[in-house]
Amino acid sequence: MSTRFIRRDLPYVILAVFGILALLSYYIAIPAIETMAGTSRTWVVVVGAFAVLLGAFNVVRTHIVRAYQKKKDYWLSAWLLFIYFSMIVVGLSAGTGSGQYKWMYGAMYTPLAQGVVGTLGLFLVSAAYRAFKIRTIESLVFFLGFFLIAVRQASIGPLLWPGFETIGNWVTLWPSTGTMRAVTIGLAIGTVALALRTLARYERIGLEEGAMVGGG
Amino acid sequence: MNIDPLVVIGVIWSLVILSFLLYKENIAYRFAEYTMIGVAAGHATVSAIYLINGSNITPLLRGNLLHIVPLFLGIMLLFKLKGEYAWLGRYGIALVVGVGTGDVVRSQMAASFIRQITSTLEIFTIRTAEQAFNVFVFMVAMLSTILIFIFTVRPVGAAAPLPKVQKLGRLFVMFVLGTIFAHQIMSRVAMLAGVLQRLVALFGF
Amino acid sequence: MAASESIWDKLGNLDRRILFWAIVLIIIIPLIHPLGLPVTVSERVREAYNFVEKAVKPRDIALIDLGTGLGPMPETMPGLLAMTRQLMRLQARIVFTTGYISPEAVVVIETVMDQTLRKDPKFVYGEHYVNFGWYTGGGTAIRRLASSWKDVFTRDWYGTPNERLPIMKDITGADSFRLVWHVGPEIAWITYWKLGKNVPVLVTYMALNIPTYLPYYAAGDIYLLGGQRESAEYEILVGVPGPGVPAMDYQSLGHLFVLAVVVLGNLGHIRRKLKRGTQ
Repeated sequence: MSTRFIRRDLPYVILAVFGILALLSYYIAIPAIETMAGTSRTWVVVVGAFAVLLGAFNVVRTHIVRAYQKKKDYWLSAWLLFIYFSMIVVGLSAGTGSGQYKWMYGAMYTPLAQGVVGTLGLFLVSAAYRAFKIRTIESLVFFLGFFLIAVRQASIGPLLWPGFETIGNWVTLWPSTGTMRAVTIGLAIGTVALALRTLARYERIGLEEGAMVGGG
Repeated sequence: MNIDPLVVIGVIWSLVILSFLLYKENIAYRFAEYTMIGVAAGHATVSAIYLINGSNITPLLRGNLLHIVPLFLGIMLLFKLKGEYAWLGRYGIALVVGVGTGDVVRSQMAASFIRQITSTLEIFTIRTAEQAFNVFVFMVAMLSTILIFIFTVRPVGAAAPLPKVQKLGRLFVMFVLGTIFAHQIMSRVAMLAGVLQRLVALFGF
Repeated sequence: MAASESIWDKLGNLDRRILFWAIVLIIIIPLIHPLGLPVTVSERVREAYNFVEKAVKPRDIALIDLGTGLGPMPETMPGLLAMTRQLMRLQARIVFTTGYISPEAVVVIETVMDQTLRKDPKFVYGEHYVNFGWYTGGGTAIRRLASSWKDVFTRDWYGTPNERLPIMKDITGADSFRLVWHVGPEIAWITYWKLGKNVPVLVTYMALNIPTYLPYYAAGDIYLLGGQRESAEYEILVGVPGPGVPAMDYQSLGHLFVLAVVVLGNLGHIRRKLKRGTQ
């Protein structure tokens, strides 16, 4: 087998074989196919965990290089590595359910993660103020949908007029659901088409030479 | 005043994050960013090791030799960190993408296509005028929106009204986007309140 | 004339930091001084609650799966706590997992157990509840869990082998569970557990995902609770005070503030348009 086949074509053969196996397991009642497909799904869980490891190791490698070469803010990279290895030592020795690990995570990550997503609320206000301009019929309809649901969600709205609750519920149940059903069906068709193209190697998914994601 | 160290530290971090928007980018914010990444990467590493140990190494040591395959594929995946051997990682990715693709076809077809169509047919049990009106609005919304996804029919003859129907569909989509924006307020206000709750917790509220 | 025009323009051109401070104050004030605004329970939430009340019998096993990170927790935590307390009252056994792309929610599971199950000595870990923690693979893993739970999880998150967990005698796959409560956006639970194995699925997630789930709810495939308001409504039905109901105060004010901000942002150009129309 040539180097080209092993490096470029064999991955696609594996992709197609396991993809078709997974698909066939739903439509053909042969126990061997179901068993092989089931086993491959367990393998995906394991390889997925290694993919997460890869991401973490990549971050660590980047910051080791930065700290070693004393690039700008290298001391921040050193701090990051200290935190990283501390989490690993405590996590693997005491366990993720231990008080120490939960304290470290709760002290350093939870407030920061929630803070970062919390600031999105501020951007929402800014966007509502600057970008939400009612200039066309489409933007007016957008505002109508926004208004009807916003007053329903605010407890004050139904207090002022119970009709807001009724209209808001009706809007959610009928026109919104009808539209979203159509969008769901459209998305499903698109996703299936993309999936079948991927299996048939019509889509470049990064298993090629030099590709950022799967290449190399 | 609540002087629990966890509360105090949470307040300091929250203020640091908010300082970026309420004031400007600063060294404390960058320090917070790096801390977050370090903890996230550490937690991800610990969790991945736990999962690999439980789902792979343990059954392998118990005699299920097939588990050597994902172990090898996973280790080969880690070679993506080393430029000249990075191609070894393609096999693991191929397995994940292949199986995932096969499963997503089934998932989308069953729940998001066939089931959606059959359940649409189920709503045509109309007994009252109100139900008739609701079903009418539902069908107009659904059909006009579905027709947006048609790009290859020329608007001539029987298909001449197609652009107008597509415009109606777009209006329904804009309406739903407006409702989504309203829902967004709830989500983002809740997230922002999560941050601010830490600040007021310091004062015992 | 020129002075009043410039006021409208000024109102339409405020520094965004003024708006940031305004929304911060609008949220902080009800946190310090609750307003006690009433919350009405909607039909969809009542439907989900009544279903759980009727369907779950003592010793039935419920699966709570978190498919989300820490960000949406302020929205979904009230519902999570309320649901767990309801299942405890019904004497169900509970299994926790999280299938999010990162293992953030492992800590959320710990928080939920700390605030509910671990406080009640009648519930013994390993016998009445268990935490299997994090798994990868998304829909593929969910499919595998439906047919063969022990192929994915050979032990719990703390390393205890399945053989030493009494609850595992009754778990083989989806058929072992009375219901699934999924917090997140994963449709695979509907395909493989509801449609494939007829296990009822309740879904809760951020409010902004409600429209995405509406078609599945309308098809009768799931029970749906969306966002902080519906989590608060569930709290009311369960009858144990939690963080959801007090949150409705700042939610109400926040919604009205954003409405006002939208009107404010449009004042300038609407006035200009009207002026051009009269000229």
